[in-house]
Amino acid sequence: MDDLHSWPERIAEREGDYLTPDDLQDLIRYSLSFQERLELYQVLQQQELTWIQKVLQQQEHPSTTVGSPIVTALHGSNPARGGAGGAEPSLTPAQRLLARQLAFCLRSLGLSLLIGDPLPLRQWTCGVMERHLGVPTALQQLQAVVQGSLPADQQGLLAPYWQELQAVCATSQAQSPSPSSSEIEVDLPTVPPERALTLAEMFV
Amino acid sequence: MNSKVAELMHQSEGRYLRPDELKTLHAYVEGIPRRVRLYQVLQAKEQELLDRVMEKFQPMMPDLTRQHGRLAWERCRRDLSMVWRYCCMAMLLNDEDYLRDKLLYWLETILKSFKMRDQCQPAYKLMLDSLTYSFGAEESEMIRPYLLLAKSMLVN
Repeated sequence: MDDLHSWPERIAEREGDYLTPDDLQDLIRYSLSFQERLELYQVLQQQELTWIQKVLQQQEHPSTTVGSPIVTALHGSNPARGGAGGAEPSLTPAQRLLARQLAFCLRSLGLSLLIGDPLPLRQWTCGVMERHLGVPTALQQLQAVVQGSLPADQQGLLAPYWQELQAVCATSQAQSPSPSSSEIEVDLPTVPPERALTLAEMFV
Repeated sequence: MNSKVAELMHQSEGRYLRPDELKTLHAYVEGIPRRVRLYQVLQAKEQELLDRVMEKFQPMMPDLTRQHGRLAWERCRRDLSMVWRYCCMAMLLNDEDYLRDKLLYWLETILKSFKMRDQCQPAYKLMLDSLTYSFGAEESEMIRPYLLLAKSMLVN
C-alpha cells in the first residue's frame, strides 16, 4: 500500500527544523501532478450520480426503480450544487441515506486526491462508517464501479486513496462493539439467531 | 498545506470545491516548485548568514555574557536560527499565520518577560541587512516579509 502522509503532520514533525529532501521531492511531485488530479477530481464530480446509481442497483432492492430521485438526494447533501432534498417517492429512506453517505465519501476521496492529503478521508469518513452499517460493503461496490470506469493512469492516481478509505473502514469496523466469546457461548444454546435486518429495515 | 488551504478544506466538507476555491488552490500549488527551490537555497546558506550576523552583533553587545551567563551567545544564535527556520517554513507554505501561530506569539512573550526586546533588536536588523550579502534578489525578496514580521512582533 502506498503510504499517504498528512502534510500538517509532516510539517509538525519538522517544526523548528527543515523539511527533509524526501518531503520536498514529494511536494514537487504533488505540484507537478496537480493538473492530473484536478482533471480526475472533475471526473468524480461529473460521474458521481451515475456511479452511485449503479451501486444502488447492485444493492438489490427490486421494489425500487433507482432513477432521477437520487439527484435530489445527492444535491440535498451538496450545498455547493443547490437543491433542497426532501421526499423522493421511489427511493427508500435507507437508499437515500446510503446515496448521501456514498456521495460524502466520494467527495472526501476527491478532496484528499486534490490536495494530496489523506486528512479529509481520515477525519470525515470515519463517522460515516460508524453510524451506517451498510456503507463499507457499498463502498467496495463503489470502488469497483469507479475504478472500472477510469483509464489506467487515473485508476493508479486514485488507488492509494481508495486504500486509505478501506483502512478507515477497517478501523471503524474494528472499533464497533462486538460480543465477547463468552457471551456467544452463553447465548447460542438458548436464544435462536434473529433474522438479519435488510438495509431498508435498519434505517426506517 | 497552508492555513488558507486548510480553511478551504474545512469549509468544503461534504461537497465539491467551487471554481473560485479551485482557483485559490491552483494558485497556491503552482507556486510550490519555486518556493521549494528558494527554500533549499535559504536552508543551505543559513550558517553563512548567521555567521555574518553574529560577527557584527557580538561587538555591539560586549556585556551580554556578564548579563545573561556564559551560554548567552550560544542561545542567541540558537534563537536566531529558530526564527530563520520558521521564516523559511512560512515562506515555503506561503503562510504568515504559520509563523505567528507556531513561533512568534510564544517567543514574543518570552522576550517581553525577560525584557530582551531592546537587546535583540539589532540582531534582527542585521539579519535583514545581511540578506543581500548572502542571497540573490529573488531569495531576499521572498524571505524578507517573514523576517520583517518577526522583527515587528519580537523587537519593535
